[in-house]
Amino acid sequence: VRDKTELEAQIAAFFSEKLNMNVTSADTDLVQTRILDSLGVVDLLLYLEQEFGIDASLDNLEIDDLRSIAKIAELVLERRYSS
Amino acid sequence: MNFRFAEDGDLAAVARLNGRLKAGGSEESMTLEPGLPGEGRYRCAPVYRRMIIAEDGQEIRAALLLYHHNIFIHGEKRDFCWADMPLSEGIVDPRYSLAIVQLMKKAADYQPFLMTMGVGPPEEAAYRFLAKLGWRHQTVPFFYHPVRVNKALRSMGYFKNHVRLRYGALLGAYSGLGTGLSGLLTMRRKLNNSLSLNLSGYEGSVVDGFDEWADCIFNTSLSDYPVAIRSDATALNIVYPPDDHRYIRLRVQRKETKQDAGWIVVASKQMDNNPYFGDLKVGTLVDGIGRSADVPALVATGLNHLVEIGVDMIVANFSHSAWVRGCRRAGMFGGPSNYQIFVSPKGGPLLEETCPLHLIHVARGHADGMDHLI
Repeated sequence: VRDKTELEAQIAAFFSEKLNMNVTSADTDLVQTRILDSLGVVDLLLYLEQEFGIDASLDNLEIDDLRSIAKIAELVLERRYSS
Repeated sequence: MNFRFAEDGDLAAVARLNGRLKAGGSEESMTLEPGLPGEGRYRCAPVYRRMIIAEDGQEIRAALLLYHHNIFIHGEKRDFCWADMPLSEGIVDPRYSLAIVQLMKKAADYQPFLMTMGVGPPEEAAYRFLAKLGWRHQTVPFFYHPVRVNKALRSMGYFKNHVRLRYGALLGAYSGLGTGLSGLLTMRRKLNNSLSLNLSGYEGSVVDGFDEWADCIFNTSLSDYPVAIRSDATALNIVYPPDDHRYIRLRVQRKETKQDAGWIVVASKQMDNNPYFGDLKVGTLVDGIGRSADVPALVATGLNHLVEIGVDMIVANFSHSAWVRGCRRAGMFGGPSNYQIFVSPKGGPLLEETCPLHLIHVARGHADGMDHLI
């Protein structure tokens, strides 16, 4: 299992490079700060599927799971571990 | 989030969603009449529209209309849905950004073969959203015929929004050039009618609705259309119901033999400060079908009728090569188009290599394309 901090850095790099959004902290609320809109959600889910092999089927997924880079890293760890 | 088809009792929640969108500064809203206009006449309409919703407690956070229809691909009938008017509270409140993504997924689980039309230019969020979801897309050609060139030059948003064009348009309108052009275009259309199209061999009549004759036309024409939306009398009377007088149905026959050549539906609307058409009275070639060889005559019949009822400008979107050719031969001009057709990843073979756009017959009357034109 990959280290959570390393994962967070990788996901932050995705936001910076692919979405042109610099997220200052892993705990930054991506929803309240409007970094993540519907288009961003699609990009993010495609990235999670391609990069981590996570089934991006949206069942049981809530916006809170994507609320911060820390939460997204937890989702990756949880879903990869459980698959 | 819960996903399900809406029932009559959900319309109050749809109205509340519209209220929140408006309060958040959006001009988008969801219809409170999700069914098709002629659906109510049938106990089990073969063509119908239902709203699917993403529900969060008592509130609806996203909604989409699934317009159930049939499409004939190389003669084989398949079910599909138009995915009309996708709408999400996420556009005003990012807490609900995921709702429309999930809703589209649920819609695709329900009916993998989805299509949508319109959408707008590539910079539109909806365009990028569908492209990211892997939907194939193409631009549907646009055609126009200015009837009153002077008025069109003064009114059209396209000219108003481009400064150099605006002054050119005003110069044209007030110098008399526009009036001259109107005359030339009328003459061109009439010459086309008599010389190129042999329109005198056809006669068009306004009919109240579609009947067995429309079934015949559809069945005999289908061999000319590798891909066509179901257009028999039943489907047509649901989409363009006989009591909806906004649609004008023109049945076109050969004069000598009284054989049916096809039909075309047209409509007109007096615009009021419309962003594209200003205050023009705009006529639309809504839909039609007939053998390929007869299509120019169908288009010309539609154009002539709209000219007779006094429209300023006539517009159309058609994709099939016979209709593209027909529009040009009948005197219409091709223009820049923002009108797209999107097909979901499971909507093969449409827009794949073996089934390019020019084999697919779609028109403005399909999906929710007439929303702003009627």
